[in-house]
Amino acid sequence: MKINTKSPLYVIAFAAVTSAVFTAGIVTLQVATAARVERNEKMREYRALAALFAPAWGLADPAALSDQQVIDLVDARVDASQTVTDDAEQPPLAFRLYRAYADQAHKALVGVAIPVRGTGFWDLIEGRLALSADLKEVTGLVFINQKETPGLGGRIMEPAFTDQFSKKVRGRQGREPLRADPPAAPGHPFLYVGRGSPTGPADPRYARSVDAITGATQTSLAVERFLNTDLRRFRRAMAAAHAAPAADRPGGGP
Amino acid sequence: MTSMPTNVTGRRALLSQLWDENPIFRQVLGICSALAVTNLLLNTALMCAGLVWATTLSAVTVSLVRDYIPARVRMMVQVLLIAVYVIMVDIAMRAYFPDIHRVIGPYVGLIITNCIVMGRLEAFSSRNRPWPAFCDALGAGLGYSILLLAIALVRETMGFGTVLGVPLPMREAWWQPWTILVMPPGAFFVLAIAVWIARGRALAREARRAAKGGAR
Repeated sequence: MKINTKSPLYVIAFAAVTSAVFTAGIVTLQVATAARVERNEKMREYRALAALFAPAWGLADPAALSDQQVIDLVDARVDASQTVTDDAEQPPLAFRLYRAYADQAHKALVGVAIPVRGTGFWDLIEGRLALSADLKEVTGLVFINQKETPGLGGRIMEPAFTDQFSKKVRGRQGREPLRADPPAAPGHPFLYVGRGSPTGPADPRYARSVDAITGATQTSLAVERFLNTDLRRFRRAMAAAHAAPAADRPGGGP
Repeated sequence: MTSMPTNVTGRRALLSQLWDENPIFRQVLGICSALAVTNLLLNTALMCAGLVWATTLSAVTVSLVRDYIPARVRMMVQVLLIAVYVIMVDIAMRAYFPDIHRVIGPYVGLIITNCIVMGRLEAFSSRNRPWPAFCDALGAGLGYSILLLAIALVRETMGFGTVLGVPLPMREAWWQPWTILVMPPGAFFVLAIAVWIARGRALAREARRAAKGGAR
């Protein structure tokens, strides 16, 4: 049978059928993999928390744990049920508190992690910043989402950059941990990224400085910017939470 | 649309796209991704695999339905097919290779707009049988990949002092990374030099062939 492919009716029918068939194929694939994608997203956060609190839990290599072991560990030892909000600036910024305990009894707090996020050179960068239980030191940083230039800004994911925030790695290198308490001079940054080496303890950059990534100045500056903003707003949110009635306070914290 | 077979064999179609009509240095197509992803070999290899997949499958599909595609909407249908295969890669990577997807995810979607894919569908697959169409698309994909991998090898090695992420032996002692090579301007330098060398060799080969033909 000869088909008249120039007929308007045929053109419309062909376009409709083709679109429907292929769209259905994509939707089917999307639905079939949705659970796995969701699990991947969940595991990204769980593995980030396991990596951040591994030193406090005495884990040498959290990457060697299976997905299920990581889920069991984090579910047992991390309480992520509370948030604190800074509404002194608009828009208000809520921080989910990931409170890590030494064991599943949830008696001894070993650290706290908070979400950090901000606009990088290309897109949103998102991570988790770990602090000591007294909130005075930075103990680790893991990025879980970024779309910076591969090989340049994308290297913020690599240990060469994130290890600079790790209290354990800095200790091995004979360096002091990064400080997370408010700087002595009001308005000074909590942390410096790529601002040179401090000259001594009197230097405002002392115990607050990490190296930038060569060739990724804008990404490094973006990381510095949002870490400082989030630390400043987190401090204010915690202060507000502790000024609130006892029932609303984040329990067990500093 | 009337389909006019061009009687090109699969082997001839593959070899032609692989070198004689190489998409990068002869047709100057697919340059955006050649510049964007070639600072790391692994990213480049994955991008090339994605492009080969999308080009070959969409070429075969277009060839199979070429007699039924109305001329007026053929471009729309071709873009739809390319998009479907690229989205399939994207979804599969997100589900099964999430770490790799995080690195090159932003570039995978760009395969849809890669001129090589659309160019081969419109110029070849829409007029030829599935096997030659497959070979032509495979040749274009591999021709693109060869040049991109060569460029990436130079950029990663000289820019980072690594090959596939593995540091060169004792690189601190003898190699100072050329950071500019992993930055966007470095891509232009290396691409231009690669195109210059490849075109020079191709033109010299053609000149030798012509001289042989003239001597007979």
